[in-house]
Amino acid sequence: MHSLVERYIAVATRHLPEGSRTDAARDIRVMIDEMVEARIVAGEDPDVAATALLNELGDPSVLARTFEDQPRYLIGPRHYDQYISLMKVLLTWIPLTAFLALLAINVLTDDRSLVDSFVQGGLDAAWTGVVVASQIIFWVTLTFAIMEWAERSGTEPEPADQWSISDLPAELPQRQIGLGEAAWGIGMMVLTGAMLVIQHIRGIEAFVRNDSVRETLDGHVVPFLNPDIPTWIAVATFGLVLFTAVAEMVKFAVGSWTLPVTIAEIASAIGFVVLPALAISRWGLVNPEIHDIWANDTTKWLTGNRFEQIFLLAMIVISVLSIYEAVRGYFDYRRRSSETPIPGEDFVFIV
Amino acid sequence: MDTRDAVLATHQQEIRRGTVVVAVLALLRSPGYGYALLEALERSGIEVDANTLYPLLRRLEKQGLLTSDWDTEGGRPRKYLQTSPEGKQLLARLVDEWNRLNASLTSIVEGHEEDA
Repeated sequence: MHSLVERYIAVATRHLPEGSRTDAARDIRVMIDEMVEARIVAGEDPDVAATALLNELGDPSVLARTFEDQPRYLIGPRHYDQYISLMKVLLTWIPLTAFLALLAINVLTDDRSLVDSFVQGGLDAAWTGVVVASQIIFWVTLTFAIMEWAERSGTEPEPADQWSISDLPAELPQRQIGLGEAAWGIGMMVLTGAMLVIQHIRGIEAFVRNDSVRETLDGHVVPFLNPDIPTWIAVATFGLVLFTAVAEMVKFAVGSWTLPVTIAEIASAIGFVVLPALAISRWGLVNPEIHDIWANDTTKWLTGNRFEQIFLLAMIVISVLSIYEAVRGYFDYRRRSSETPIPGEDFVFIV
Repeated sequence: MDTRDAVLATHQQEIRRGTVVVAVLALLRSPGYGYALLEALERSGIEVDANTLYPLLRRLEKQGLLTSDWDTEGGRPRKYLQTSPEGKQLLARLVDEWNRLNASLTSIVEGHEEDA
């Protein structure tokens, strides 16, 4: 009867879940029809009544939400504080570090006048800082939103009456994992991911401004890593980087070395040794063209397998250290909560 | 004193929130439709907005406390609601609670500690 009302209802229910849309639309229609009718009975002009009512009801999507109990937030109170503090630290330090590092590289490796290279390099570095910041905002928000969603759609929380005093931890819960540690871990992953992409797309030219090297390159893109390494290794590496970054965020949100957190940490550490070791043993990690460049320079000692050996050794040392820390953290966590069983091992979804 | 009024309004709303449910379940022991219910509530001195009442009716229906029937005779179809047996049980419990609270509050406000 009123195309206006039809349009209002359509807009109102547009974002409701499929299952309850028609149902909610019918109830909203009942309300509008009855209210309009009452206005007409009260002597209002039928043509004006609907318009006036809809004006009073206001924004249709706001009205629709009162008809359907949908959470109206992305990140709830449980993780809000961690989300905000992690975001603050990451957004302060990573873009700033990226900016300063890139500015330094740009200025030091540029042969133009100092002012020119400062201006050009500064703009370049600032833009990178902005890009890095937006990446951080996106990925951190996405991770927390998924955690929120996973907890919401997971099993119902234990009813309060099943809780007993013995569920209290033996000692006051202490954060084992601080913000600095999480920020460092995530920062490293952002940096690793960025380096992997940049070295592939722009080649080592993006990092080196040494004139003789640039002449050797002669404008063509020379990736640092061996292009013969198959795509699946690259995909796996990106997966590992993403997994580790997400695991760092979850680790910070949980705050303790629970079993899932410890397992994720160990898996990531092993991955960072296995993937490079695989690449080195089958295809060689470094682009053969880089070896040519090294051979012509004072960096001759890096040729052969020397670089790969040093790199792999470094990765093994780092991994062993982080596995050691994870295992120690886990036993420490077990010891602290040994009086009572570890409550539920929250964040089950990660395993 | 705008903020004082706002504070008062917030607290009044807090107090009223649950009472609407009691009133609705009580009134709908005999079937009625939304707007008639709105008017009945208003007549009884319970202020509630249409865009609060209708969503509330929907929630109560989903919780099985109200049952609905479509009356398609004459003019436009009308949705009649009635308190379900389960709703009546809940109503009795809520009325008990209300009476208990009322007694407690009265005694507290008048300054006599209740010996329970």
